[in-house]
Formats: sequence, structure tokens, C-alpha cells
Amino acid sequence: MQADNEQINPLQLVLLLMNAMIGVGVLVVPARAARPAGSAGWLAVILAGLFALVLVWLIARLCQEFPDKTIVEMAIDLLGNNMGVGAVILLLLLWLLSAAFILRTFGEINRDFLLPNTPIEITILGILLAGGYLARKGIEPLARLGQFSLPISILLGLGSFLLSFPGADSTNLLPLWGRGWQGVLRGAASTNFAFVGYEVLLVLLPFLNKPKRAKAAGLVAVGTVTILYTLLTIVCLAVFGACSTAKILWPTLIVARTIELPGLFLERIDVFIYTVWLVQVFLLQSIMVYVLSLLWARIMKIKEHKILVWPLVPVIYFLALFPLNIAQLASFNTIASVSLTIYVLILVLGLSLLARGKGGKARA
Amino acid sequence: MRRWSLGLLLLALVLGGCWDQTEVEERAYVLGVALDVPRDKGDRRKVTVAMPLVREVGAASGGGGGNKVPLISFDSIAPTIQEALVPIQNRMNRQLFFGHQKVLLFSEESARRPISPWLDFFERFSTIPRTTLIAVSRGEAGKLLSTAPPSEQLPPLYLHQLLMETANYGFGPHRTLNKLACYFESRASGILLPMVKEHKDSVEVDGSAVLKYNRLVGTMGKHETRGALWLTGEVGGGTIVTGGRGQNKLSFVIKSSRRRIKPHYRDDGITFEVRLTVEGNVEEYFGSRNVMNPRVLEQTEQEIAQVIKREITRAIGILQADLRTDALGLGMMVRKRNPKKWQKIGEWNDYFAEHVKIELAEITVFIRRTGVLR
Amino acid sequence: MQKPQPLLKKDQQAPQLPLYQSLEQNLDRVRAILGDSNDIVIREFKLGTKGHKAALLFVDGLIDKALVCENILNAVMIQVRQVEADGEEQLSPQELLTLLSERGISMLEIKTSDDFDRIFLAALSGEAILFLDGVAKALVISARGWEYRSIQEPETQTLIRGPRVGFTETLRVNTSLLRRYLRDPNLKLKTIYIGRRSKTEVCIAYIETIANPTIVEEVNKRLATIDVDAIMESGYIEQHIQDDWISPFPQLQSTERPDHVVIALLQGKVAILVDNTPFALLAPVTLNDFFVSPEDYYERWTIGTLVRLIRYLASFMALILPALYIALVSFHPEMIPTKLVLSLAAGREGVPLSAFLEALVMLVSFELLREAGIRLPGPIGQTIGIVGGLIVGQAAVEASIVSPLMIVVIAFTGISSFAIPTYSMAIALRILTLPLMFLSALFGLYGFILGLFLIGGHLSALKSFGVPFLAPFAPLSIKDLRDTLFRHSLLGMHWRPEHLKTQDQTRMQDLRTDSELAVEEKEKSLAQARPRGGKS
Repeated sequence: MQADNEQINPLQLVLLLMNAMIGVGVLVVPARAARPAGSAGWLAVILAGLFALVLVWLIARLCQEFPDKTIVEMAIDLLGNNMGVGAVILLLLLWLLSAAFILRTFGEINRDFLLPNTPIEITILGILLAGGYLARKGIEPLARLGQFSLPISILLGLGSFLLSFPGADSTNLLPLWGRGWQGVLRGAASTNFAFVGYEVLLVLLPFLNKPKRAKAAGLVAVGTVTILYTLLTIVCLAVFGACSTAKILWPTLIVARTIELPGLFLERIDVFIYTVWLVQVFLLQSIMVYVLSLLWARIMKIKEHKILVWPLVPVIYFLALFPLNIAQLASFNTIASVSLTIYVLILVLGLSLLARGKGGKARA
Repeated sequence: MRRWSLGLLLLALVLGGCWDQTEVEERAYVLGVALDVPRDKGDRRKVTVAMPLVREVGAASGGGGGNKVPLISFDSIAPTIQEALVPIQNRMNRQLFFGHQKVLLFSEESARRPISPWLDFFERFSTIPRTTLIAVSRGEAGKLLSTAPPSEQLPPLYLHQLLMETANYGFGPHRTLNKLACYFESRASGILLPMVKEHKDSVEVDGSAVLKYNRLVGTMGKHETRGALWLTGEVGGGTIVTGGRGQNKLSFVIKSSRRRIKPHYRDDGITFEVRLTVEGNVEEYFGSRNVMNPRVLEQTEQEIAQVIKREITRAIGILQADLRTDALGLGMMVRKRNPKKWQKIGEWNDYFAEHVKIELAEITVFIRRTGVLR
Repeated sequence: MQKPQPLLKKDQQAPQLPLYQSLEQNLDRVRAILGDSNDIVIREFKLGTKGHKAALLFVDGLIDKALVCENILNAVMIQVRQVEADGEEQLSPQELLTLLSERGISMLEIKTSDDFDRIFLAALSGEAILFLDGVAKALVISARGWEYRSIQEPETQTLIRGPRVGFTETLRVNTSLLRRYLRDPNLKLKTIYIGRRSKTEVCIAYIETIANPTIVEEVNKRLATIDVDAIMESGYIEQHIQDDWISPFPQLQSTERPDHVVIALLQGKVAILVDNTPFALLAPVTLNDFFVSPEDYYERWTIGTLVRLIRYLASFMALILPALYIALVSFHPEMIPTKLVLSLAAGREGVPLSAFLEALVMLVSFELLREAGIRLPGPIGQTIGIVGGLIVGQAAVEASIVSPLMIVVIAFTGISSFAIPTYSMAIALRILTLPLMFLSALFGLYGFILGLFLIGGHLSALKSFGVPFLAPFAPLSIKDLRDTLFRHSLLGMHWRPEHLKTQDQTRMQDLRTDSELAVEEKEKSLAQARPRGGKS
């Protein structure tokens, strides 16, 4: 089947972007926010979300200038062949690292909660293979699967969280400013890790069948994720208090364990949370593998991204195994995500300026 | 070629074994853990784990109830919980599994020493439910863990249900591992834990243990505990009897209570203004007056309010004067609402004992229903 | 591989073996090729006073004998006698043939042919061939009539409410059943022949002004590529033209019910009817189509919705129940309520097998019982099912081979798979239970979700004749969702499914409001808006 005529509609794009963001970050958001910001963690999340909104808007604006081109072609157009390819290769590497470390983080969480004795190499490999399988099929099936599963995930996930409200103490959200505005800022910087993902728009825009809706799609996606994260952080803060939220590594999952519904058959709601979260991670990996293989294919000017998927898998795999322990992993995660965001910002702003400059001549 | 290698991989996986697979009957489900101080005192604890004898459970439920309690407990003495589990696991053919732990008991003596380090094991190991209930026992905790009336099958489950049911009555608060963990993490000033004691062959909730920071500093009886719990808003059931020694005894069953506390900052201290609203029904009356008479109702409501006031005052007295501990969460309130003032106050518990006044501004009781009799 | 032979369409003329003028030579050729079969009859006779030699070729058993005798032999012999008796000149053989065909033979369909291939095909299909000496042409007369099953309710698709009509093995009867529902001149039935030796008649049915021409073309194209010896059943065709042969999921739907086909045609689908089988094929299909039964529409919408929900639930359970059980019991018992865990452990005390093997053994036994029940005739088969289920299961529990809860799980799984209206979908889910169980047995909940994810991914990529299999769930079409999990009131179903991209989107007006004022309004706006385009 042809892969060239693949199209996605704006709704699918929104869901894809959301899928690319909600993966592992969702589990650490409350902790990363609460550690520097205290009880104002949710403000930190909103701040990080606002920043992401701005960035995604910039990305969408840039991409809309070149509706049929991915970032690769854009960079080559504006920076010339050598510099353009170089810029994109750097992007590819940063993305690669980001994806690999997120994968490893998933492996660690999986080991903590679900499979303590299974070697992490196997679980990571499992996801990669599944992701590769799906990535080979192209963007449409990915979009469809995302469309199918994300609403269910959000419903189940959100529903489960709202159930923890009886155990929550809303006074835990005081004092309002937590540890002060510096704390909020640092919290926002730390939480940025959870928002990484919307940059895939740089590569996905050509598939959108209504390019004019890109900005709206990006804003809706990031906005929804921000709201979700904020709600999540509020719930965690209310249930645990700021100090515990900061101490626990994965507050999201632990919150699920505090929900107690004595009358119901299911004592433990966390089954649903795990299910939902696992599906999200699988989807995220598929999207990342797809994007990476597409990017690589475009750099090497190969038409079909499919053949690059299996070669890409071992690269991600070995990178994921690189960090020695979870402490190293946390810092790698932060470094990778911050570098990625900053680089994307620079790249997008730079290219936008150049596009403006060439605008007069290029439109002829 | 690809199919062969895939098949080989799968075969390897299957033959290699499923690393995490443990059949449901191969696990020893720890339902309760108790911590006692061993005879030689010191830093070690005697850790008791209670597990059901699964075969007995199955047979009993199918056959119709044997007399023997199908519980098995192991104990060992060690400086940390993990070390204590090693000899226990050594004696068991099944893998110890804490995923269904229901209760964690500290003996009164072990609670007099710092207890937060002992919680770490239960917090860190994520399979342990954070909804595990924590209580302090008068007397040996390990023994209490196996105590249950003959009608109940598994003592830890019985204990768990007991604590859940009576939490509302106000005689012993509902404290989960989660609450306690967050308490320790936030470095609050004090907390109340339910106390249980043995009563013939069953267990009774007998008031609360007052923890100051990390240790038990004293205990409160049932009604004194309720006095404190009125202030924390945790009373949702229970009975108040008025009428003194006379013929007019009246039983008022509490249905709900709401409290509002407002701190007033003075120069030399803080006054907490408390407004309490209680709702309930009259369920028993020895006297002959017409209970539905509004004047009688009002009078009764006043009497009930008086009883409540007495309970609260007594509790405050113990906490402020005798134990010098704020186990009511008032400190957290100040910390959250007025962080600047909080910074200026040094040691909260001392401040609480000396400069804090709790003013019972208003106790309103509403009798909603009186049953079908006049 | 040889290139596929071009199919013979009904009206295609490509004379390969022309007829001779001499009757003798024609008949020799016939005898040479059709050979010694006893049921191939050549009835030679003479016409008229001049004794024109003629012969009738037919296959005994395929023709309606009474009709042939009355309307061919009788008519021909008498008619010519009358013509030539009037004393006119002798007719030339050509004129005689024309006379016979135009005025003599009183049968419904007559054609002329000068090609042996066509003649043999016709004769073997049940037509009668009239040869005349002196003409290198023959008359092909439609005289079909053979034994066939009367129209009964199909056994595999019974309804509580609805017509008790099912297709039979004769194509013409089946097409007539379709026509009975749709007296629309736009209903087109195009016939082609597939299969080198069987030359089975296959009929493609669609409503010309509704169905998307791209889909129709695609169906035609794929059918043209089939090159086999024989088409035994529609299943052969299905397996040749489906999009993905590895997928466990069916990509065409088969049905025995004409009303089902008609509902599909009205949606914009294409139906393929095959001679010799009562099972017709429908394309394209989506996942949702397998959970829909015509009965949903005959009853009111509340019932339809409830039944649909039950079916979806059942299919979900049939797929995941054993695997979920294995995952939770063997890997994550903390997620099961305490009391259940303890009784579960008690139940499994003496069982030597792991949960996975236990489930596997029970599943296999269940399938064995099911197959045995199908093979055995009548009441014995049903008894085996009950006996097997109850007694053997009970005995297995008491022998501590399996635990009691496992019996419950497998029983529910089996029953759930029965609740799925389409057999092919039920099979697909039953097949997929196994790898899912396997993954759960290796990796617990993670493996379970991995398996579900792979299935989901596969479904997302699956297409049926260009239509995504997961429509209308994805790509999302909220309008169409009204006919999936829930069954919207018929009054509001005034559009056709979006994913089929039909030409005429509107089925009828939206009749949901029943206040008189609203109806008036509608009439007014209709009058103003005429003519309406293809918008709903």
C-alpha cells in the first residue's frame, strides 16, 4: 500500500501530539513540580504549559509557511544543503537521546511496579519491537490507533483520579505560592520534561490534510495536556501534601494506590491506571520510532521510511541501556529534554527569521 | 529465515522461564505486621508477620466453619525489617508477599521510640498498599495480631475491619500508612494514632496514642480522643448520652459533624476560634417528657453540646498542659495560611502549649429525628 | 505462472471453435468433446414435411424436462409442420432457424451462437441447444430447472424477529430474493464466470446511484485476477480478494440472509453472490459490521442498543478474559481483592499446573467439546456439550487438575464467543486469545497490554477495499458512531455511513421531531431548498 498519500485530519493530529507528550512524563510531573515549588507545583505546571504553548505556536507558524515540507526540507531550503542537513542531524540526535531515555525510564517504572524480576533488556525490547511494527505501517494507522485509544485512556485515567477526591485534603494546596516564585520557575523548568513531544509537529505537518488548522491543533493538544497535568498535580498535592509528593518518585501511580472503594469489587483501581499508561507508552514509542525513521529517511532522501525502522531499533535499544542506574537516568532525562527544547526554540526562531527574510523572494 | 529466528527467540523466552511468574498459591500473603520491642530492649524490634493458612481458609468456607483460626505467624528479631524478614523467609516455602497487607501494629513500647524509620520499608516497597491501617497496641502487638473472636476467620482482616468501622465513632482515628507517611514527610508537630487492646478474645479500640514528632508521649482514653477528634473534624458517628444519673437518660446518635476553625493572631499568641455543628438523631430515651416538644428538644441539644464541650476541653487540657503536643493539625493550618508568622514561631509544640488558646465559640447541635415515638 | 485467462462475460463473443454447417459434423464434435457421459443427451428429430434434420442437446438433470418437451420439442415440431404445410417454398435452413427462434419456440430466453465454447458452457449450465442442419449457428435456449433446496431460514443466522428467508444454492433464486426487497431500477446485478473448470456464475450486486464507483471498480478488478480451477464456495473468492491474508480478522462479511445483503447495499456496499452456495459476500466491511445483525433494526432502538452493547462486551470478554486472569493471578495478585485472592489460592492448592497451562488445557478441552458437538448428529451433539461442560469440568476440579475459578473463566469466555453474531469474527477472537494468553504468561500485565496493543495496531492498519477497518471509530465520525455501540432511533438515521463515501448521502428526512409545527417547518425548508445536493 502506498505510504505517500497518507493523510491525517486535524483531530488526529491533536491526538497524535497529545500521545507524543503523555508517556512517561505524566508519572513524574507532580514530583518534578513539587520538589522546587512546593504546594505551588500546579502553578509551575501551568507555567511550563504556557511556555510549551508558545513554542508549539511558533513551530506551527513556521511549518505552515512550508505546508508540504518537513523540517528537513525546510532547513535545507533556508540554510543550504550542508548547514541544513547538519542542523537536522543534530535535531535527530537529540530526539534519539530523548526517546531512548524515555524508553529506559519506562523500563525502570515497569520494573518497580509490574515486573520486578524480568530483565529490563527484555521489556524495553518488547516495546521497541511493538513500536517498530506499528511504525512501519505509516502515520495513518498510528493516528487511527491514537484516535481510538486516547479518549478511552483519558476517560479511564481521569475517572480514576477523580475517585481519589474523598481522600484529598484541599488545604494541602496552601500556601498558594509554595516556596516562592523562584521555586515556581524552577518547577516549570523541571516539568518541561513532561511536555516534550509536541515538536514532532515539525515532521508531521505535511500529512495534515488541512494545513491551516495546524496552529489550532497544536494549541489544543498542548492546552489539553497542560490541563490534564495540572489536574493531576493538584490531586497529588491534595492527597499527599507537597513534601510527600516531592519525595515519591512516581506520584501518579501511587495516588492510584491510595484510592479505596470498599464497596466495589475492585479494591485496587490501579489496574486501570497501569493499563491506560502502558498503552500510552507503547503508542508514544511507536510515534517516536516513526518520526525518527521518517526524519532519517528524509535526510538520506529515501522515499520509504519503512526500511529504516529495523536498523533504528537497535540504536535506540543500546542508547536506552546506557545509563547505569535510575539516578543517572533522571539527570540524563533532564539534560536531554532541556537541550531538545532549547535547540528546537533556537532552530524554529532562526528558521522563521530566515523565512521572513527570504519571504519576499521565495514567494515569487 | 526470519520466521525461524523469531521462533527460536520465543522458544528461548519460554524455556528461559518467566521471571516474575509466581502462582497465586505459591505466595504467602502477609496480612498484618506487628512491631514489638524485644525483652533486651535496645535498637532491635521483634517483627511478627501474620499469614493465612490458605488451605484452612478454603476448607472452612466450603465445609462450614472449623474452630481453629487459620492463621500462622512468624516472628524474628532484627535491627531492620528487611533483616527480620530473612530468617522468616528462610522458614517458608512460599514467597512472602506484602501486596495484601492490611494492618501495621506498633506496640506501645515500640512507639515510644522513633517510629518513622520503621515505616520506610512499607513506603518504599510499592506493592504494599498505602491504605494499610496503622494502630498502636497496649501490650504485645504480635499477640494482638492473632486475636480475634471465634466467629471471625482471619484476625488481621478482623482488625482492619474493626478499625475501619470504629473510625467514625471517634474513639480511634482512621490512620493509613499514607497519612502517616505524609505526616512524617511534612514534619508536622503531632498526630493521633488509634490504640487497640485485647478484650477477652476480641480486640477493642481504646482511645488514641499521641505522637509528638516521632514518638509516643502519652495516650488518651476513648472520650478524650473523641474530644480531640471533634476539633479535627473526624467524628461522624457514635453516641452521646446525656441526662446524668437521673431518669432522663437520652442517647443521641451522631450522624455528622462539621467544624470551622479560624485562627486569630494576637501579639502574644494565637486564638483558634472553633465553631462546631453536630447533627444526629435521638435513638433512646428513658424519661417521660415529650421529645418532640421544641423546648425539650432545645434543652436536650444544649445538654448534648455541654457534653461535647466537656470532652473537647478535657482533650485540649491533656494535649496542651500534660503532653505539650499539637496533635490537632493546628500548626499545619498556621503554616499553610500564614507562612510568615510560622517562620517567626520557633518550636510549635511549646508555642502551642503556652501561647495558643482554643476558644469554643459555638457548639450547635441539631437533633434531626427522634424516631416514631413521642 | 500462467497469465490469468480472461473471464467469459455473459455477452462476450470470441468465437474460438466455430460451428459447422453440417449437423452430422456438429454432433460428432459434440460427442467427441462431451464424451460418454450418460447424462448428456442428444435428441435428434426431423422438422416439417421436408424433414429438416435437427437435434437438441441438453444435460439431463439440469433442465426442466416438462418445459423442454412442451415449449421446444412440441412447439418446434408443430410450428414448422404448419408453415411448410401451407404449400410455400421450402425454407432455407437459415430462415428456418430464424422462424423457430422468432415464432416457434415459446421459451423465455433464446440466443444464437456460433461458437462451441459458448455452447458447451451453456449446455453444461442447463440450457438446451438446438442444432439445425445446414446452418452454422445454434439456438441457445434457457431451460434451467433442477432440484434445489426450498427457501428456509438459515441455520447459522436465526433471528427472533425478521423474515425467515435465506439464500439457497441457486444463483437465480438468490438474485430474485434481492429484487424482492429492492424494486429500484438502479439495483444492478452483473454476472461473471470465475474458475477455469467450474466456470461458476458469480453475481456482483450494487445500487448504482449509491455505491462509490471506486469501490465497485476495485471489486471488479480483484475478481478479475482470480485464476483457479474451481470456485467451490464464496469462501474461495473471499480468500482471493481480501486485503490481508495473514490477518485473523475477516475483511469481507458472509451472510445467508437476503435482508442483511439488502441493508448493506443500501449503505453503499457491494455484494457478491456465488452460485452453489447460500453464502453471499459483502464488501467493504468495518469492524462494527461484525457486531451488527439486521434484527437490531427491526426491533426498537432501546433493544437494539442493549443487544449491541452486550455483543461488544461479549467480544471483549472472549478475547481478554483468560489472558487477564493469567496476568493477574500469576503476576499481580495485589490487584485482586483480598478475599478473592485467598479463596483463589485455596482453590489452586493441589493443582499441579501453572495458571497458564491450566487455562490452556481448559481452553483446548472446551474447543474439543465444541468441535465434537458439531460433528455428532442432533441431540447427541447437544448432550455432549452439556455433559462435557458440567460433568467433566466438575470431575476435573475434584481431581485437582484445574481450579474452580478457571472453569468459570473459560465458561464465560466460551459463552461470550457464542454471543458474537458473525462466526468469522468469533473465530478470529478465539484465535487471538491464545497469543494473548501466551504473552500474559510471560510478562503479566505488561505482556497483556503489549498483545492488545499489537492487535490494536494491526486493526488500525487493516483496510477492507480501501476503507479503514476501524471506521467509524477511527477516523472518527461522530455521526456514524450513532450506529455502533448504540443503535440510534431509525427516525434519526437519515444518512449513509461516511466511510463508504457514497454518492447519495441522504436516506430520508430526519423524522425525530414530531410536533406538527416542526413538520411544517421542514416541509417549507424542503420546498425552498430543492433540489438538494449530496449533503445530509
